Formats: sequence, structure tokens, C-alpha cells
Amino acid sequence: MRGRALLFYVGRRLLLLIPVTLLVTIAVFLLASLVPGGVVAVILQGHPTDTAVVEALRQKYHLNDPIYVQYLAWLGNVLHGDLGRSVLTSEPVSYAIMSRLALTVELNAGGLLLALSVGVPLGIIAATKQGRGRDRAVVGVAIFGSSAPHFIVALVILYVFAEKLNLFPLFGTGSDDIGDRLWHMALPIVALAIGPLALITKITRASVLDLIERDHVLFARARGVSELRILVVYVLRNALIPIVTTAGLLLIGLLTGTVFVETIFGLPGLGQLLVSSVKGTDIPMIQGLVLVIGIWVVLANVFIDVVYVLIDPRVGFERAAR
Amino acid sequence: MATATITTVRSGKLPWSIASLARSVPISIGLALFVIGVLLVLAAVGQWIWPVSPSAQHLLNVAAPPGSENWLGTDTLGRDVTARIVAGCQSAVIGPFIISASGLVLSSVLGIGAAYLGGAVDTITMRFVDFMLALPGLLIVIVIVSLGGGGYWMAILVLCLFNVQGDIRIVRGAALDQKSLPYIEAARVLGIPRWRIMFRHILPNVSAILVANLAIDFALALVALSGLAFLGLGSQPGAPEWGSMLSDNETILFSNPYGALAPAAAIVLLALSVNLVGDWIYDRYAGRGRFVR
Amino acid sequence: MFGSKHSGQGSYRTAGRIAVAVAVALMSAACTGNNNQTATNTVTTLTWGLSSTPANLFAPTDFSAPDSTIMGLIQDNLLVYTGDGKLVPSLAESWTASDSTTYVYKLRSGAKFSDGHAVTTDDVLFSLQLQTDPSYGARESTLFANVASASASGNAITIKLKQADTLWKWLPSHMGFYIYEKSDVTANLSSYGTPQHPPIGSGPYKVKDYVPDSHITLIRNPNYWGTKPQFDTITFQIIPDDNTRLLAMQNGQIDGAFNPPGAAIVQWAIAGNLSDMPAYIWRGLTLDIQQAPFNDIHVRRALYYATDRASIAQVVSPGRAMASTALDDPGLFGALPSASVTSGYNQIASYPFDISKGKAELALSSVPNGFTTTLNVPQESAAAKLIAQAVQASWAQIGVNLKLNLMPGGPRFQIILDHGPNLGVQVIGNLPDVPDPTELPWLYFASDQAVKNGNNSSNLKDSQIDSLVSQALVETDPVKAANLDMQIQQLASQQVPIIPILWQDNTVVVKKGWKVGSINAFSWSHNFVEAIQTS
Repeated sequence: MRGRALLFYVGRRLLLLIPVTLLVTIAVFLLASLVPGGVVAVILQGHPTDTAVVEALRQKYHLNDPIYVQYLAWLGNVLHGDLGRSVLTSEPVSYAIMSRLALTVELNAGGLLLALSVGVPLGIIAATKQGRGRDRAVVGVAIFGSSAPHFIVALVILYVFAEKLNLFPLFGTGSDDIGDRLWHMALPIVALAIGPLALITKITRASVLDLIERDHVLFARARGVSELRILVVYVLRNALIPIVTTAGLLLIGLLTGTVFVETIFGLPGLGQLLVSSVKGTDIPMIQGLVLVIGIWVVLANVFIDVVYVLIDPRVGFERAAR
Repeated sequence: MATATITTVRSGKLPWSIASLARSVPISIGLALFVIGVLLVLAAVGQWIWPVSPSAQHLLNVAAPPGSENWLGTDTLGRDVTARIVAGCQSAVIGPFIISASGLVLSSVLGIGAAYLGGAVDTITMRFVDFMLALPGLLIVIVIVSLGGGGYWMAILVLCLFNVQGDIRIVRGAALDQKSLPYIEAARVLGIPRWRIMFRHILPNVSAILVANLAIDFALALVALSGLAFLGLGSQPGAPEWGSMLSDNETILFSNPYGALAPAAAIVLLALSVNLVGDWIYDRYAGRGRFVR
Repeated sequence: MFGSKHSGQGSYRTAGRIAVAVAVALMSAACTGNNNQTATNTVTTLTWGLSSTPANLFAPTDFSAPDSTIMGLIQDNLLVYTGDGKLVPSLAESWTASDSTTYVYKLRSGAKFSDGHAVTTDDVLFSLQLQTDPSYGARESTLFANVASASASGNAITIKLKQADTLWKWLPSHMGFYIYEKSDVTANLSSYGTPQHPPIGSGPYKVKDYVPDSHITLIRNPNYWGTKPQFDTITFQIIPDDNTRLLAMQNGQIDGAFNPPGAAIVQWAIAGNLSDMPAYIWRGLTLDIQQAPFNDIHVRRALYYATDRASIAQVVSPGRAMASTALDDPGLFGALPSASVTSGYNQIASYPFDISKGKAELALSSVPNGFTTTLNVPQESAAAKLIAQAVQASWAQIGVNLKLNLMPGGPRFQIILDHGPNLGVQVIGNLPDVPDPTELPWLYFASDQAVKNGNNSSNLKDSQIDSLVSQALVETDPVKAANLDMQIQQLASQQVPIIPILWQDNTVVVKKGWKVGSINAFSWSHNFVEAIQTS
């Protein structure tokens, strides 16, 4: 019964994909149509050319059609898996995105894992030693970590560890060998993880602190259950909820940090692709990227809701939808 | 931009007596407030009282290291870095303030309104909030600002839009808490009009959260605006903006590292101070619930 | 780190981590050593640093000069312009101009593409068609607008022009006329030049790896008809961050690069050997003389006086740029004796930086109290941004308030190409496509260019200049053409339609111990690596 309800729930939430992606892509399409000269101006990139070529290009990109026709044509292509071609590089948009997706996923997954694996224990330590020096130190570091913008953190890390101390490679993603790969990706992952780490520490601390004084914990303590057992069995399982929820939100929030980290470390991921596309006004690529990001975001949201529901047995599927 | 709130936050009134404030403020917060104060003053009058001009170019003295004339050296066009940091206080303060203040106004109206009025108002507001929370704000801002042009003010407008959703949720939660308290019930029984209840009774009791949100949104907006400027969006060439100074002066990192280090430090310092104050207000006056920020 | 009970183990673990890091660093230092050298000490691999990924390796799609340095290793031309300034045969073993509008090129036999297919006259005709047929949408097809027809018979290719043309003879050496393999391009037209379909050429190298934002690797083309190139493998390492690229140079991870950023030139000069690469780049401002207040010559002169051209040149490219007085760099007038070049330039009207003279000139104008105007600045051009800010500051001193409007490059240039009214001030950077002084004056001073899709954003329309331009364009004697071009520049300067700011060269840097022979901005689009001398 629960299994089927879960399936229905997931299905219903996935339906959200449709309005979100439609809305977001229409908005970008409209915005892009405001760019003076449109796609053709971008293609010609400042090269004067004769009217015949301009006309030929306008025909090729359907710029003489009314805008809703252009949008529907684009949408039709998307449903066939064709996201168009970059006007700067002639690469198929879907290929460009797919070839960079793996790196961005690696970066985000690594960052999230690092943030969780260091942040949660730190938060617990701070909570259990609340008010004492260790707690204050952790909180202080956490606030600092969440204040520093991603691009500053990334720059500082790059210059200190790669350039000054020469401990890590300056550029590149490393070969397929996993050791080399880790070595190349270590600094970017750390740079990406620092802000989220601080956040997770704060949340873990707050939620553990809150639970430690709840009635059922007091009861357990009165019954003589060991502190450690209390921590793990009674506190953590419930504290996990906001932590997991935050982790899920970070799946989306990290995308922004990824943009800066990839740009600064010169990593060929989706973030850098987005920056170079907006700087070069590569309209088909921007549209494709916005679509992919929209899908990622909806999927992440569904994931969060499902995990939330699975972890907290008191919440039914209807309440979770709020 | 702001992450979601999960459960309720206890509301609290801010103590308006200066004496009691001064007694209860720890040193680190005091320092943070001092830093904020100094930067506010510089933002207001810095450009007029500072002896060196932030835009005077000395094309034959670019990227000079710190000296007696230029405490932090010069940048890519020979302009004094210190003067530009001082001048940059204005954009570092005004933009984020507008964004966080609009967040304050919008979230108090929409949050309290949704909580107290309930029904359709609540549903629509929360649907909107849920939708917006789902979007990676800054990415969309990047796309909009670069395609739409418009620089600094466009960036502010769009960031205002993407700032409110977390706040609305938090304020609504706090207002919901208030709504069930006896004094609100009493007011209703007495026939006090709804808007009066919302804004003369509920609002003051969630003021602590609003101020805390203001601070935290400010820090986030500062980071977002500097990030945009760093990417070359949302600011005019030549404007003394900390984020664009950071990216412009990266090329002279080896000749004058302070060109890039100074704006970086300024951004971190301001964001840190504001975050400290905001977190402290939360902890102190808004109670400790199982909240997420 | 935060543990107390286990603090002893904590610091132990930290020490262990540091040890690992140090070991890794030592090993990496050992491995980044010079592994280019074979036992006999001849260098066979080259690693070159790039500041951005080429958008594409197919010239009709990606018409950027820096990317032609890579394309020119893969593709070949009928003719080649050498670093010494000579036009020599390449894929064409000889050529003649049978009359002023007919050129015949004899294709050499035995030349092959890297896939083994022979280079045929069909391929040559097709490569020209890529530029002349608008349906291909080639970016810089205007260069070939004068081609009337092309045909082949045997191994001779005959190209007929619509009218006599002083610029044509150089074009077979230009990146617009790279020779592509017809069958390969037509099979993959829409994605040609992308990593999925890298271009095939008859040049000394072929593509082995093309990973955007990472690297491009070329290896020797075994089917190349010419002399064996000195390197077997060339890797272009893409390092967008300027400081990282400098560090890569210092660490020996790259052997050379083009155009290091001016702000760090001192450090680059320490890390490697810099040499100058003539490029004849021109940067300056155009003023719309049909629009008030720029229609007042006193205003134009005042603005010229108020522009500190020498200092701007120094900031944009230290040591490699100088204040300019005209569009053409004097180096383009190689056909004339240097004395007449000098005296010719002395007769071009120019107004050295002087704020008081600027104020005095403005006082004589229709707007003695100054005015406000806007300049669109392309956001990708660091040089344009520097120029815009410098000009804004110095013009403010004579009361002219210049607002800067940052825009993406394509749309901002589209505004110029749309040629609407009120073009105002525009910041321009350009370089001649061919080593001839006729092109730039034609593009910026001729009235047939003051139209939609033309470059003449000053709207200069002078019948005398037009007549001189038409004569120069069809003049095949280089000396006569150069004299005409000098006259055009002198005449145009009387009306101050432009404020020339600087001429700029390129810079090439190679590792210590290496040198670079003759190279210029026209020769670098063909096999530039042969100019590198490793010993």
C-alpha cells in the first residue's frame, strides 16, 4: 500500500516538470528575443557581411517567423531530443551539455559528500559540547565559512594551494586514473564544499541541540541509557530530517557555486558552459542549459520530498506536498 | 537564495532599550556592529571626505604596489585602490540594502497576510513560494541580467524578486504561531479590524525575525551582487564595485596583489559582520526552534 | 582537529597528511620536468598555452585570427605569406595574373589530405564557394565579394574578378581560403570543425584530440607534401586564467604563448623570451559627423585634443603599442621608401594630447559648455574597456560627459552594422586582412561603406576621397596604390572623422633558450610553429 502510494506521489510530483520547464524556457526565449540582432548578430560577431548572407542566416534560424512559431519549433525539436546547435561552435547543444554533465555531477556530488561527512560530525560535536570552547569555535568557523562567497573561497584556495604552495595542479581535470583525477579535483571540491559545510554544521548543531532536550530523550537518560546510545538512536534519527532536507536543497544551491568554482579552476563543466554561453550570447546553448537546469531542479525537489517523507513517518504524502 | 525553513520559529520582540541592549551584546557582535557602522558611514559620506579620488587615472602608474601615496597601491588604470574600496562601500551597501529591505516589506505583508487570512491567499502565496524556492536563483539572475542588459539596477530588481520566498515562509511560520495565541483571539472578539490585528499586533511580535532576515538577506545579496560583478555582469566598467574590482585586478595579481585582496577582504568582512549580527538576533530573540536558515 | 580526548592522534593524523602532500608535491615536481627532450636533445613536442578554447576549427564558422594559428597547422593554402613578407607558392606551385581581372593558379600534383585523398581542383573550387555562396553563411564572405567566377581545367584554376582588385592577390594566403576537402565537408557541413568532426587538411599536422576547455592535440600529418615539420606533436593547453598561464610558463608546463596580458608583461619577460610580432592592429574612436554635436569640427578636434593616446597605448599593451595618427600602421607602406612614408605621415592632421587646447577648441564650438553622450562598450574586449574608461576620464576634463554602456560584443556591433541614425561615438578595433594599406581606409572612409552592413560609422562622405578609394582598389601597382592610400589618409584627417588612438603589435613568448624567427599577423595563420627555433 505504501509502495503504491509512494509511486503515485512521485508520479504526481514529476508532473511538475511540465509547467516548470515550460515557464522557464518560455521566459528565456522571450528574453533572448530582446537581444538586438538576435542570433544572427551573435553569429556574425562583428563581421560586416552582405545582405544575402544575413538573409540566408535568418532563414536558417527561422528568425523571420513569429516568435511563438519559433518557440513551438524549438519545443518540437526538444521533444525529439534535438536541442539545437551552438551558434558559436556548431556543436549540438545536447552533446555539449552531456559531455560536461559528468564533471559537474562529480564536482557537486563530491562537494556535497564532503560537506556532509565533515559537517554532520562537526555539528554533533558542537551540539554535545554546547556553550564550551569547542562549540564556539565550530560556530565561529561555520559563520565564517558561510559568509565568504564561493568565488573568493575558490580564488584563495587556488592561489594558496596551487600557485603559492604548489601542492596541487594548476589546471586540467586529470587523466582517467582515479588517483590523478582526485588530485586534480580535490581543490575545486573543497572550494565548493566550504559554504555548504558551514551551513550543514549549523543546522546539525541546531537540530541536535533541540532534540537533546526533548522529553523522550530525558526519559531515556533517566532510564540509564548510555549517552552514546541516546545520541545515535534517539537524537540522530530525528535530527536527520532537516539535515537531509538541507542536503537536498544544496543539490540545487550548489549549482550556483559550481558556476564560480568551475570558472576559476578552468574546469570544463556545465557552470563554465553557462558563463561562456551568456557572455557570448549563445542563445540556443542558453536555452538548452536553462532547460536542463530546470529539469535538474524539479528532480532534486522531488527527491527531497520523497526522502523527507520516507524518513519522517509522521508525515503523510499530502502534507509533504506543502 | 535563502534556504527553506522547516518548522516553526518562536517569535520574539526586540528590546528597544539601549541600556539593556548594551548589557547583553557579546564582544564579537559589538565588533561586527562597529564594522557595519564604519562601512555605513563610509558609504554615506566616504566619497566626499576621502582626500584621494577613486576615479582619477594615472595611466603611467598602473598596478603599482602600496606606497606612501597609495596605501593599497593602484589598479589597472592607475587608480588608487584604497579610494576605490571606500567609494565601493556605497554600492556594497545600497544594493543589498534595497534587496533586503524589499524582502522585509514583502515578506511581512505576504507572510503575515497569508498566515492570518488563510484560505486562498495562503494557498496562492505558498504555491508561489514553493515554486520560487525550487529555482536556483542566482543562475536565473545571471541569464536574465546578461540577456536583458541593464547593469546594476536590473540585477537589483531581479534579486529582489528572488529573495523573498524564504523570508515569506519564515515570517508566515512565526505569524501562524502568533495567530493561535490568546491575545489575538481577544482582539478578534473585541472587533478590531483584521488589518489592525495583522500590523499593529502581530507584526511587532515577529519583528525580531524580520530584522534577522534583513541581516541575513543583506549578506546573501552582497555575495550575489559581487558574484555577478565578478562575472562581469551587473555593473558598469569603471564603477568602483568590490566584485568587479576583484575580477579586474586579478590580471595584476603579481604586480599589486592588494588590488584583488582588498576588495575580497572587504566583501568577506561585511558579509561576515552582518551574518554574525543576524545569527545573534535569531539565537537571542527569535528563540531556538528546529529551524533551518 | 577539534577532538580533545584524541588530540594526540589528531595531530599525528595531520602530520601524516602533510607528509603525503609533500611527497606528492615532490613527485609532481619531478614529473613536470622537461620530458620533451629525446636522447639526442632535439625537441619533438611542443606545448602551447591558449587563453580560450577555439569556438570551432572551421574557418567559415570561426573567423578569429588567434584561432587561425591552430587552423593553419591543419589546413594549407594555395599561396602563403611568409614571416619575411613574401608571397610564396604552397598548394599552388605557380600563379599568374593573365589580365587585371583573371588569375590562374596551377595546383601542384601529389598533395594529399591527411586521410590519404588527393587535393583536387574540385576541393579548391569548393573552398572558394564556401565564401562566395551566401547559403553557407560564411562569416567574412565580404572579403571575397569581388569574385565573379571560378573554374578549373586540368590542374589550373582560373578565378575571374568583377573588377581589377588591389587586395585580391593576397587572399589565396588568407584563412578565408583554406583548402578543405569537399567530400568531407559536405558530408558533415552542419557540424564541421567541432570535436565530433574535426577538420581534415593537407597541412603539416592533423587533429588527434579536440577537447573544448581542456586541450587540442595535433600530430604530424604523414601525407604532407612539404618538408617534414620540426615537431611531431603539438598540444594546445587551454588555460583561461591569466595568472595560471603565467605560472604554467614559469613551471615549464607550457613552452610558449601568444599575447600575454599587458599588465603582467614584466613577469612574462622573466619567465620566457618575448618577441614582437607585427600585427598592425588599429584601435580608435569613430565620430558620427552627421550627428550633432559631432557635426561641428571644433567638437571633433576638441575631443581629439582631449584623448591621451600615448598613455592609453602604454596601458593597453605596454611596449607593444604606440599612439597612432591614422588607420594604417606605417609598416603597411612597405612599397614606398621610408623617407616618403615619414613625410607622408607628417602631413596627416593630428592633435597631440592637450587639455587646455581641447577646452579652447570646445569654446569655439556650438557646445562650449560641454555635452553628454553614450559609448557602447563590448564586454569581451579588455582593450575596449580600458580605452573607454581612460577616454571617459580625460574627456570629463573638458566638460564632455561620456556614459559607458557595457554590452555583449555581437549585439553592440550589430548596432553599428544596422547603421541607424545617431551612431555617436564608437570604439573600434580592427586589423587589415591582407598586408595592404588600402583596406582600412576603404572600410572606414568610403561613402559606399556608410550604409547598412558597412564599417563607415563616421558617415564620412567625401567625393574626392571616394574617387581616390575607387582608384586604389583597382590599382595593381603597389607603389601607386600606396601613394593613393597615403593621400586618402591625409585628406580624411582634415575632417577629423576618427580619433586614432593606437597601433598595436602582437607578442609571442617562448621558453628561455628558444627564439622566434620572423613572424607576423599574416604569417601566423600558416604553420606558425616553424618560426620557433629551439636551439
